[in-house]
Amino acid sequence: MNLAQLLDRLRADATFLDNVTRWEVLPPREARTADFPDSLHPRLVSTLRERGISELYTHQAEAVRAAAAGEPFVVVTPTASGKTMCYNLPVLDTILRDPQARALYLFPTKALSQDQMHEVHGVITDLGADIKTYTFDGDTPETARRAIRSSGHIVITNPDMLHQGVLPHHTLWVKLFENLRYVVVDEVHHYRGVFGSHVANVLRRLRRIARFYGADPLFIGCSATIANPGELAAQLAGGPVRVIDDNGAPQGEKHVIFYNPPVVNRELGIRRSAVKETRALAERFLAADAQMIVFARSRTRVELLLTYLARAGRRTGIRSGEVRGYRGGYLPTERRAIEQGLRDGTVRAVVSTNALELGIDIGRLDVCVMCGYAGTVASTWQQAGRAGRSRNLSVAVLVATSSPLDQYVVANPEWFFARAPESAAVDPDNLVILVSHLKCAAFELPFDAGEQFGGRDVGEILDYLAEQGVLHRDASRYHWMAETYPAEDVSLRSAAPENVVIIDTDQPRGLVIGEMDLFGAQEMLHDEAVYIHGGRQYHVDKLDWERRKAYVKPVQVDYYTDAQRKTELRTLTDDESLDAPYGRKGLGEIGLVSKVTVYKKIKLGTHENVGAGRVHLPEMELHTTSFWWELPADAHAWLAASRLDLGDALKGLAHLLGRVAPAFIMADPSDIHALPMVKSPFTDRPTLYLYDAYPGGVGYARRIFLQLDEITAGALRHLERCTCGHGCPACVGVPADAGATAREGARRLLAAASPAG
Amino acid sequence: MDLRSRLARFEPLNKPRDDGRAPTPPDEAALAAMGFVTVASAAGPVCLRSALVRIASPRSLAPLTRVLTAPVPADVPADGILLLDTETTGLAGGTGTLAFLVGTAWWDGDGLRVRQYLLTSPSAEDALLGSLAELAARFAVVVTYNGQTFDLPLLRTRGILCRRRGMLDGLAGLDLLPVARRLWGRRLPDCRQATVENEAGCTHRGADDIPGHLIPAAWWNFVRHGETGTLREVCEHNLWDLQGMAAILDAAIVRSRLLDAPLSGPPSGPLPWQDAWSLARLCERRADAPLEARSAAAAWIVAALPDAARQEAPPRFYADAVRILKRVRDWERVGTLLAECAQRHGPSPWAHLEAAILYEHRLRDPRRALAHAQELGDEHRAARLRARLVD
Repeated sequence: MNLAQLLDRLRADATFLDNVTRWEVLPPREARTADFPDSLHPRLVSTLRERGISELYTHQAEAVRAAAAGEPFVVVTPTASGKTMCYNLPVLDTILRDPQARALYLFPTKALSQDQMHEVHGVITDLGADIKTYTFDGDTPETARRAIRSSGHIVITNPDMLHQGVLPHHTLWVKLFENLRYVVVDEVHHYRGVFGSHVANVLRRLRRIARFYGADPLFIGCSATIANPGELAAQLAGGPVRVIDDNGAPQGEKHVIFYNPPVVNRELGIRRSAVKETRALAERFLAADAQMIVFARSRTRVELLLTYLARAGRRTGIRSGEVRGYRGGYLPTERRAIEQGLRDGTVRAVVSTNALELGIDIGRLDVCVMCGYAGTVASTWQQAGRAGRSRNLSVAVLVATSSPLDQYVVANPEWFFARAPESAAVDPDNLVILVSHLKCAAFELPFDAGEQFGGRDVGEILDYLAEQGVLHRDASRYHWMAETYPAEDVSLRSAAPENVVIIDTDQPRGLVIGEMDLFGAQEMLHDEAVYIHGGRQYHVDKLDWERRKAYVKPVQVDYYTDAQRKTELRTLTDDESLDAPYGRKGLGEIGLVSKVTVYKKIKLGTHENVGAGRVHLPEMELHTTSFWWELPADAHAWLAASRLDLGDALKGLAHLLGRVAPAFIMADPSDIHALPMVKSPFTDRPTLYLYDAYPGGVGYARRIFLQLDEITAGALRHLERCTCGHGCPACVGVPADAGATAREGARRLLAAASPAG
Repeated sequence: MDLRSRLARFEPLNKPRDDGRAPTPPDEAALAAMGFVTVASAAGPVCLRSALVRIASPRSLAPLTRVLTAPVPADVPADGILLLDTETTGLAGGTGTLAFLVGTAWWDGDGLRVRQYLLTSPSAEDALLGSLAELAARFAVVVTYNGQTFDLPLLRTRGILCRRRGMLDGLAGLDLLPVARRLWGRRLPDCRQATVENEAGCTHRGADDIPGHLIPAAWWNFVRHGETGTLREVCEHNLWDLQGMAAILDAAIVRSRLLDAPLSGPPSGPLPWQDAWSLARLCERRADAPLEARSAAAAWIVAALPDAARQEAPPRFYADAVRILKRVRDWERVGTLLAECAQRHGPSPWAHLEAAILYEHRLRDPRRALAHAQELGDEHRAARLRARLVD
């Protein structure tokens, strides 16, 4: 049986189809090509011809022309559409004409940098040109660094290394900065939220240093498909950027199937294990002689699925060694061998974490099975893009887990298939992040009085830092004056670096099973809490708050715990406010002081309250940006007329929007917190707050403010489709938490708010 | 909410360094009292002070080539040598650290001429560096203490920031820190400059020498509040550093002369055993006269042996000594040293292997060789030796 026959059989399988929420067939697409632009160096053209490339895809030609015109751009096309050519061609062309020219490539991970180096290197070897390409990261030996600094034409690095290892030592990189012609940022869509806001500032510093050396590099970006690639790239590039998204690469017919495992426990919203369903599906594809990649979200799941599939050899007819695992923690040589095996077909199936989601070259496969939603539409398409040859049939299957976000996606497939439903949020002007990078920048070069940073006036901040003794202002400049090295204290990957580590004391030497932010830890990892992790229950023996450690032991009990956080919210600024379909929407800064005081024990199944306890943990403070939705004053009476409770409705709505909104703004559910208030002291009305979980905020609340209509419409659609009855974790929360009428109340509010209603 | 209160909210900084004091410019009179004057230079006004110290100039730098790995022109006359030491706003490295006091010194007919450049404000840096570059152009060698990794790169970086690229590039660098490590490092508790200059007989550094960690604050208090109290101490400290360097340079030349050709081995006077060991190691590295170097190295080690034995020499000493004596085929001493090392530091695979080879091939004592081979667990060798014993 081949893949097409298997698809026919699945289409006729009623049990299978019962669980399929969407079967989308993307028709085949012919390649659209263009001649090599005249501007391209003849040597480059002839080398490409020797490599069997006789013309360019339309988007590649457009990129070459934009670069030649000195126009910054971002390429937005799917996986394996020949994106790297969009920047390699202009860069190599420039270096061929001017051997002094330099380019800097930024990739979010080290593995990707290595892969990219091999690729560029291949072209350069064929060119026979003396163009030196190096990766520069934490692993680069000290002895190699001098050569890289002085003679590397293309330096490939990551934002963290640029931030801590290159910019603060720019005088060692004079050659690079003086001749810097291109800054290439791949995987632009990764630079969002806290990380993106930091990286935007690192790039501001980079441009500032380049200016000092008289260079003005051209920005080239590549992004997966999102709703606002131009906006995001502009934040990184520090100015408007042309969007090139007219994909000319060919694509065979492609089937995308959303599969939701059958329900096991309706009240708790628990479904059959996604791992087991993935395994069953994967075995069927292997038996159909298809080359396959399986994505799983954790390293443990990768190993589990790998074991299952390797054992299934007898049923599927494949030999051991033909199924391989791929994840962080494998040796580089092992990974190279697997990548090679995938390209030449000796590896039939690979089970991977998202390590293979990014651009590493493994050729193109027939089938992709995703065990769990990848977190964003962009990532999901990148994973799905691993399957799909330019001519043949390919299949991608998403197997949903029970998590609320997975359930939202699988239950609302039209949201997923709408053109680019997610917008990436960044806020380079987040005060905490901005100030951190102003310090780094002042260390790198003194600030002239009146000098702007990232196009904004920063005099007031510099004056403040001077008053604090961090900078020294003399006649015309601000100088760094602290003894420390500021970049060392700034991590790009976090706003609040602290997490609580979760340790399973039943395991030998105490196994770390996870980490949690401080807010979450107070609610879920307090002493005596029953914490659910990876489908297992754990009892928290001790939360050592000072040391940020929670000691847990696996247990099997018939209850779970639910902690109550008492939060005081003060609205500090009212920056924007607009009429909304039902009430008003606002955006501003808030101050929160909160404390977890008590927890309840709730019986599984019946949701009876079977006990309670006190929690003794310190208060938490947060100043951040919040969106709020202020309901009309008569909302209470309006709902009461239908015997619905406003408090329940708001609680349910908070639960629902806290899980649906992240899908629209490329956030993790832990990036946003929701707080319902029956009567907010600021608005004096029933109000729902959705705020950034990071000090100062990184743009999520603003995106919610801008996209409120589509988010409420999405939430309403999701709620109406949820099959739970009276509330479940995937929609408004279980009735024991949210209240018996939460679901209907939330639905009414959303319906009233929806533009159509 | 205005930006200032938001900043205060998000940037809960450490207590302000200024304690609320208003900035005050540096006090000209106080500077003058310290001997500083403002002088016009091509790049602008520079604040400096000068002194003359009675220290004799060194004779040829040539002997130091036996100690250095980087080449230094051996034929530099005394007036081609510039001593340099900086005081900085931090030790972190990177571009944001300033050299606020640059001490320089050179010899002329009268003695050691010292000139200290002081930065009275960060924006005066360009003039200071310009004036320094002009001075430096008169010299061929710049002598520092740890300057190859610290002072000189820092000045070059600041030069780039002030658009004075290539500043100091014309000078060969002679860093006294690696020299001191190689000559005295095996004996001294550390190779900080104060320790080494004391060894070199330079004892005028005051007991009240300012601790290094107070130096950055001393300058900021001067620039921001006009305070000169601790700055005065920093300037003295810098002066002592320069004098100390002169003394170390001289002592290093005198000591290195022991390595000069003809390589004759130890002088009649006693030398601490660790220093003799150091000289043996330096002889070993001489590639220009290999045979002579071998016997000289052996002579230095032999000179070190009696005291080394009395004073608990570390295993590294024995490893060096065995290697050096093997080269001159002094098998008896090698045997003694191996036994002594085992007695002092316990048995080690290295000592057993050396002894097994020594007794099997050199001293032809298969019985002892077998004992060592067995301790080592070298079955192959043991079998061979047993066979020989049976024969």
